[in-house]
Amino acid sequence: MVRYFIKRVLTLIPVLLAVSFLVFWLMSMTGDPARTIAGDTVTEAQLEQMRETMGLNEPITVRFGRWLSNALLHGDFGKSLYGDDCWKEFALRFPHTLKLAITSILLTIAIAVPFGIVAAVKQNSWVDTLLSSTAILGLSMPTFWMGMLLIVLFSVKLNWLPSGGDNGTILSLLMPMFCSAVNNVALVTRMTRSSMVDQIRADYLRTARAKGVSEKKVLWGHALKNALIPIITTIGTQLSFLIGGTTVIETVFSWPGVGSYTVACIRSNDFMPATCNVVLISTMTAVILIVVDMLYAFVDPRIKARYKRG
Amino acid sequence: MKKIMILLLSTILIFTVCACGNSGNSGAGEAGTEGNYAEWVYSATPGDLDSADPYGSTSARTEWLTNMTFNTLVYYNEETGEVEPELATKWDSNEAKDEWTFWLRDDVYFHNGDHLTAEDVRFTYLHTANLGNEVNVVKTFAAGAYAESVEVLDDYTIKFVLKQPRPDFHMYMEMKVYSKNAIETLGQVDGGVIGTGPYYFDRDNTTSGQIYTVSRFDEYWGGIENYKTKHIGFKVYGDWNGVVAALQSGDIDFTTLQSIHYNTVKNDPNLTIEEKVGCSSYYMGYNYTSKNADMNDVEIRQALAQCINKDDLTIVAWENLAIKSDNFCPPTGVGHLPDVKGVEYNPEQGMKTLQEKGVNNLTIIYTSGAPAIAAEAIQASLSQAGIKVNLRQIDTTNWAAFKAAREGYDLFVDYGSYRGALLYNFNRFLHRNGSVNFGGFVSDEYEALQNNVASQKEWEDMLKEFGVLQQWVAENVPLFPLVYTNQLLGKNINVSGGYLGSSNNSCDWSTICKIEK
Repeated sequence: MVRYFIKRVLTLIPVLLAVSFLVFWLMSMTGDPARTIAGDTVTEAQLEQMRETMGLNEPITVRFGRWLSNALLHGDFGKSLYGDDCWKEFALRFPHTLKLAITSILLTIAIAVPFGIVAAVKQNSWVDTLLSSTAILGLSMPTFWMGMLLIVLFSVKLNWLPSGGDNGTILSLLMPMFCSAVNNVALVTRMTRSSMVDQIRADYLRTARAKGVSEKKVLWGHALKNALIPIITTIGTQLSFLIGGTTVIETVFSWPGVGSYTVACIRSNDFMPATCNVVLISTMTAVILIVVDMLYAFVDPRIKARYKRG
Repeated sequence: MKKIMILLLSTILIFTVCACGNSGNSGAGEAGTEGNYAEWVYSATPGDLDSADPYGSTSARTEWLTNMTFNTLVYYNEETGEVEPELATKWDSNEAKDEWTFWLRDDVYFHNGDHLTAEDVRFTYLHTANLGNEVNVVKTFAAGAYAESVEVLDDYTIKFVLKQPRPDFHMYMEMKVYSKNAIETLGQVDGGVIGTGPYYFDRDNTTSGQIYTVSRFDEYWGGIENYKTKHIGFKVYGDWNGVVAALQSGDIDFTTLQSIHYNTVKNDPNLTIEEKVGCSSYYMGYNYTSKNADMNDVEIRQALAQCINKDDLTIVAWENLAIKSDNFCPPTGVGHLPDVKGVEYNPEQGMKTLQEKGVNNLTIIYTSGAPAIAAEAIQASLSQAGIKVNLRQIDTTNWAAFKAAREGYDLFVDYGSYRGALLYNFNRFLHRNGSVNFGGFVSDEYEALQNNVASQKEWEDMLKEFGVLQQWVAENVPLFPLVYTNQLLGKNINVSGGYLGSSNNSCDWSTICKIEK
């Protein structure tokens, strides 16, 4: 198990190095940071001098090598065009992204798993039809559209909730949390339902029922446990997506997270913080996926045995 | 399974309780009043503050903030067209107009307690003149290259010896002044935000990505009677729609607006709109290296201009919140000549000329928003004249570089904020070495006229020759002025004060206040 974990972590190193270089290289191809910050007021000669001062005239490999060594050896991920420390800016915004991601995924689990189970148990009944239809509606609703409607209703018309930002209260969290959860709830509900339907029909459950095991135990103790693998996979993937920053949600609700900040950096050719954010988010996504893999072992003894064999 | 569900529900409860804790805006926003005025007034910007250093960014956000935190040597009053004292009480030049002396106030202190002297002015001028020498100084100062030397005559007197005579040099000296000591001891990033203005940049109430704040400097040399608000906070929003929703919901008290939001705000009984003729000139530019049409041929430029219906354009792209223009220099611009006659709308004549010249297929580039709508309106106008126009939208990130490359387009729609001394903007847009002369316009006749303006020794003579230049530009259309857009300020009905300038550069929110009910 530990050996498997170490192996997975080691395979991350070349992946993250490749991602770092790719991001650094792509970002440096997107535009000219000197022109971005100088605007329209400077001549070509002045721009050239700025590029020289900013080190933009050096080869990409030299710049990447310096950035990587500073990041690994000193934890220095560079500075933005306006002199802000990239790591500090990331650390300032990441808790907001994390808060939104965790609360949203918990809301998803709390709603979607019971809904999925009920839909599976009441298969082909009106309850199933209602829950499945609601799930399809949730999946097909564009998040930005729903976000704007919520703002108009709850902020502009009713004046109950703040229109944007994170003021540290539950009120400012409600709309973005709900909005980012809607799609996931729909997805996980459908996943839970289909996974549970497969299990409910399985032979081993028929045997259990024949042996007199209560329906409650059959459902919660046996069926759900075996249906969990695809559900965990879906939830893990959605969590890593949310950790990456739901840019649309963050933009619509002016949520001060990493996603909207990264997009703003990309749009302004500020490639140091953009690179830093993407690399750190990639690292976290990879870690989450490893954690999900580890969770499989706790849910399914067969996978645990496979991990033990290495 | 029951245990798992209980665990899940407990976790949700814990997170909910944690989320309710106050971890947000560093104390910004506590309610309170000073007299009948609210202590806090809020605005918002789509995007975060780039820099609180006046020379650290060219963005509007930086301009707004530093107009409150810094004073300038002199102040150009765009209402009267006169230069007024600010940090300098008076100024004078020699007869040749190549030596200018400024006398400073002796009672001005920076936010860190430093006393303002002529050394600070000299330092600021030299520090900002050489763009690129300092990484975080990114904004060039218009008159930075004009002085041969800068002499400190005494603590409160400074002399600029110019490379050539300039009767309008004082108009360029709307220069925000740094504290030399602050920059030398704290460095550019921390020292560059310390000014002498009525407000200081309040780091304690600033949270990156959420809000940036200025707070009143109670030792301000001009007194604080006019500055009723203790803290002015600028909340950071994702886009303009978010900003307008925040204004409507009461989360913020005032903001500048884009024309598309005019009716939304106008129809809200809790809000009011202030309008001002702006100095932002929208224009159609020509690519002088185009292969589809010889833009160096003045008749082609004039013919294209003749085909464009500016009335339609003003309604379609700016919802009538703009004024169609013939003169590139707007009414608020220094030396604006009101009776300049431009190329008139005459599609029949334009079409005839374009057919004769074999112009039939052009590509126009633009960015999103109003320029995109304007480009579509231009396409419609030119289509009626039988010209096929291809539209090509360019992302704002690469806009300047794309234009400068002069490939893949024949026309472009752009705008420029027109503010500054007499020839400053004409220099930038139309001079052969101008920083914004993207189309590559080159004309000996134009250069001669421009030099003629610059070589005048008396201000009145400069103005007269500048009028001649404006008329030449209107007739020869090296670029084709479309409209001057209005500046719009939306605010809560309880909010008053503040100054809506003709451009972002001249807006000053330091006197904004909100009366508490």
